[in-house]
Amino acid sequence: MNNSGNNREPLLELRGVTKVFNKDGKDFLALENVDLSIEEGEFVCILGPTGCGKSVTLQIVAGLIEQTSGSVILDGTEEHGPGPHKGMVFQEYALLPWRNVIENVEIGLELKNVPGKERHQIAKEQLATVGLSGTEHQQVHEISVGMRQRVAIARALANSPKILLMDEPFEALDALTKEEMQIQILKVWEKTRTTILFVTHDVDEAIFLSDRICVMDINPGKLKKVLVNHLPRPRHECMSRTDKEFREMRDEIIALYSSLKDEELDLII
Amino acid sequence: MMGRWDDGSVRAGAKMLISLKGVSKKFRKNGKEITVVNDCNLEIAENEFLVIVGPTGSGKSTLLKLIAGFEAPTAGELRVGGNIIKGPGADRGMIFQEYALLPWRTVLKNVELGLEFKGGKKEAENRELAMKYIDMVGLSYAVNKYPVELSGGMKRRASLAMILVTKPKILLMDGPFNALDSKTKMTMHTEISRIWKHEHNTIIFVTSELDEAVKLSDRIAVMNKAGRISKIFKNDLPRPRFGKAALAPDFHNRFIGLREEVLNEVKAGAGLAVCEY
Repeated sequence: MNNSGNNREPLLELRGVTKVFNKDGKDFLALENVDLSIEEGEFVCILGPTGCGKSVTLQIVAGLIEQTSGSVILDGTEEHGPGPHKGMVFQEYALLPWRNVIENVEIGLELKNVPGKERHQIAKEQLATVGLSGTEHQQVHEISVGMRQRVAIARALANSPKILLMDEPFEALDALTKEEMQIQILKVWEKTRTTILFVTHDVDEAIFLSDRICVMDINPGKLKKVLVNHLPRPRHECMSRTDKEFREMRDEIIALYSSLKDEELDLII
Repeated sequence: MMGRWDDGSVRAGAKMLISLKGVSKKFRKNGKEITVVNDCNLEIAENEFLVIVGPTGSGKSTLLKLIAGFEAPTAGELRVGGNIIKGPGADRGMIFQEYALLPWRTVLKNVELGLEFKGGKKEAENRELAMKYIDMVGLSYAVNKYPVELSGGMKRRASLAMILVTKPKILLMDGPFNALDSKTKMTMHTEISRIWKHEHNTIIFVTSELDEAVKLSDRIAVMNKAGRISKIFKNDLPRPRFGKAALAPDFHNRFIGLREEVLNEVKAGAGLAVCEY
């Protein structure tokens, strides 16, 4: 559903994905029957308040948890478990502190036995992509948290992933760094055209970044509506959050959440 | 060589492993030079458990990073086993406050990571060794879980196993249990004491919690606001220091007594007269 209108095969497809957790002998429906198709090169955000199953959706696509029913198809193949073809960038940067910046970017390549010279070259290029040239030999503890998150992005990109999976990656950052990182990820995406599936609870972030926004519902978590985001690009240059179109899109999303209680709504705006 | 404590006493049979002579570290910040570590002298014996305490900004984490080789000293000399420290090395495993687990790998695969990078070993051998250390940190029941499924304490254990599996002679721990709730923290204290006894590592442990320091240490080094080691306390409390042993009235009194002494030293070094540390 909600393909953007042409007949190409989708890169990623979720078919009837449902997840039931069992806690203390009780079943809990975390995600109900999610159908979603994402095309190659798209930037898709999954948006919703706490408890809507947005992270669960991403973790199922990543292969970190298994769906109770339904299937995940990536590039024509049904997916089971994680792999370097699915790049992950999470809220915790998960860099290895005893390795310097470039050695962290090289991890995936090293484990694939890519020869030293070649992996160094790839890692250097990916550090340049995220705007970190010159930091190759710095220690992880010497660089800022925003820079660490960029290293994590470069590390994921170094494996030439089919898709980049990002779970609230900028959530732990201060407001200024967060904005800087949003611009950075747009630049990376414009340069590499890697398909990105990005989970957030921040409406503005979803509008600023996405081609489409999957608006999730709570109790149980399910897909409420998929909105196409027609705002012009490149957005960091030609638009501001106070623009009319931006505000209209925001109003449209908030209206979808009219049934939420105030405190639940506070969590997303 | 016999080990000689800083107070001049000799511990029979103890070999010196780490020595710091006149170590200083200065940083430049906004055009001003700041001395973070100031003329520190310290000798640490093999298999010793040394805890460094001090107020925020006393340079204790920097001192640890100097020993790890992540930072180079501005002046002075640091040696391990007689050799000058020139950078990080496999003989020193550092455990940070943050977790360092790769999200796309299970606990087992994460712990195997250190061995994979080293290369040379067989897959089956690596697995066996990884399982041994996962068992040692009490995570056998979660070997096939991914980090997203782990609690904070479980992540901490997995990170610990990931370092232990590479068998570092020296463990450098920078506030490793700071983020844990008190119950998990207590369990981790027991675990690290057990691992230390079993693996015979030398541990240098930085913390700002004095209970933790008294519970774990052979000696406690106190650093002050000026970045100096102001005093080193010997901790003769009998081990084990947990469970029933810790409930004995004599033990309890000595525990509180040492804690009080260390507290006063920390307060003096922080420039505080009467204040809660």
